[in-house]
Amino acid sequence: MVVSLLFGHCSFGQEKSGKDIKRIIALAPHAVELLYMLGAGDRIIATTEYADYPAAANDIPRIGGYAGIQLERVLELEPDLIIAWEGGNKEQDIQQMQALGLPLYLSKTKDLDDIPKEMLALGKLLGLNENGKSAANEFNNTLKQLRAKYQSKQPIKVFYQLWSEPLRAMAAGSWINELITSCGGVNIFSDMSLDYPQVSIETVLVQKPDVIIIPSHHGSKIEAGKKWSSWPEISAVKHDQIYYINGDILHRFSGRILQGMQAVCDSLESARQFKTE
Amino acid sequence: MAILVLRITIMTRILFYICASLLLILFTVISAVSFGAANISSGDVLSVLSQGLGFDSDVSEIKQRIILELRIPRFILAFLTGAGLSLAGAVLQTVTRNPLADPYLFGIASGASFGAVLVIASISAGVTGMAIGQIGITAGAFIGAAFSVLIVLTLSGRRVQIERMLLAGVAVSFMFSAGTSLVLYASDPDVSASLLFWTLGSFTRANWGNLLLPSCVIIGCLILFIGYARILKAVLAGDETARTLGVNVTRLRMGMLLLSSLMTATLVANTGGIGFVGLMIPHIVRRILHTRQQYLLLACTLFGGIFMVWVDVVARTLVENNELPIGVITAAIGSVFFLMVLRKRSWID
Repeated sequence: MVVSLLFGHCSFGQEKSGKDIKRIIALAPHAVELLYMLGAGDRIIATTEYADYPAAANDIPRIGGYAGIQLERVLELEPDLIIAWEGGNKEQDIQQMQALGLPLYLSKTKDLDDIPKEMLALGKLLGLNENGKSAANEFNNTLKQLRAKYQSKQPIKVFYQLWSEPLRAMAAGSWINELITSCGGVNIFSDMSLDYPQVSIETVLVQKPDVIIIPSHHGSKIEAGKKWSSWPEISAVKHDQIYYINGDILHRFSGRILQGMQAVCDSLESARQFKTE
Repeated sequence: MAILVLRITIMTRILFYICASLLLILFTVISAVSFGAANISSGDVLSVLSQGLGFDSDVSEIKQRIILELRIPRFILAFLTGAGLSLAGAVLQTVTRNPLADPYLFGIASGASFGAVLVIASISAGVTGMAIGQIGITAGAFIGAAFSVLIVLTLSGRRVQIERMLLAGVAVSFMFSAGTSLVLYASDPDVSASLLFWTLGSFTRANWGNLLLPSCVIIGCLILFIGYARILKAVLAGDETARTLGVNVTRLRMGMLLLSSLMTATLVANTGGIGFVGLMIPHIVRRILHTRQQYLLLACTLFGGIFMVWVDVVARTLVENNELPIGVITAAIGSVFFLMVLRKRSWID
């Protein structure tokens, strides 16, 4: 009896579904964006730091961030649904929420095609089936159009400068690699064994990329590209083909990622004119 | 007559050592600089280096620039780091008469790291301007290092007890590490990722511009230490003996600790945390060479430098197109060495 009291009934509240889910805790910026897109933004009662889009999201109370979430606050808020991010939220936090029997939806997005699937799944879960379907359709159509337009164009060598100190690239298997190839580019570090390899100026010099893409955060962009100015041997530097693209758009699995993709395709397209010369 | 013969033998021996050292350095430059992502041979390196002596070089311009602007500055920074840390270790081991002393054990390096991390984080957060750069980070590191020396010396009592000093060093080291962790925790994720990488040690930021300060500090300290070599030797015989020989032991120890802190701080500010070199190299050198204090210090500088250059080669080439943190490799080698030393000899003597 005591054992069952302790372990058997430790789930909090009843599992709700559809329109009954009124109190959502979204533990990732992309989850907040998706919820607003589906028309469920007003149901979010708490989120984490950096969830800043759309502007209304800035007013949602914060219960955690990069270093982890405050589990007690999660319990106290009595959510009907928690959206956590596998790979983004801390593994221990997710495990503890699972152990406590909290109503958890795990976002497991890894590549572009997962995004419309998530739109459909969340739409279904929240009783917003139609919104989910139309959002997913729109996403799929735009993605298809972009791929059709750019994928088979003349290949362009791309260096994606994920980080400048230390210098880090993104290898194959990442959605960034997928973005680049969909735009008809070739990621110069796609054959590396690690996901986010640390590279040196020299390795980039050897590969001679046609374009360098730097995701920018908090406006620290000029410093990141400055180190290349003394290396005109790289054609991206010679032809001034270094592009800063909003990292929040490129690194979040929401609908906006296609805006980022358009920006990547545009920069590759602009580098192509120097390639044909 | 016998004295003359002895003198000549000593002179030829010194000459031999100097030539051997120069050859060793030349060999290290030519072979170590030829490792890297771009396909550059030892012949290319030799050709580019001989260009400075007026010979023609047919190496392509891009390779020349890679050698001169990326690899050689990095080589020099690695050499200076190994040399400086070994020298600091050798001096600390002498003035404390503790064979296990090194800049990391006395909390000097963690004090320096804390100071540097604090300055870097405040630059990133926009509290202070970018302009304070290298000098500011070095100054921050030195203040941190000097502070930890002061705490350690205060805690080790008026008549410095070596064991107390070591324990105080460990405690201070933990204290400053906690401070560093706190700064890392409080920073933005991208800033703290950069800081974390920095604390693991790296030579990626080497360029001609930021080599001046560490070179001046290390060469200056080396000259001072060699000048003081005889007095250092007296301290090695015990505080009492040194005092009867007219050495102000307390002041000397303080001065040597501060100079070691200055070297460590300059290196930490430029390369981050690279441990165990200061412990390991002096040990090995002392085991191989049984010679005078000043030659020991010189040998530590030389071997420390060469050792670090090869550690860097390993870091750059172990995983293809990927760089490993230097501190991880030195700590891996050094900790095993530390255990071996502990096993082989009882060190409280």
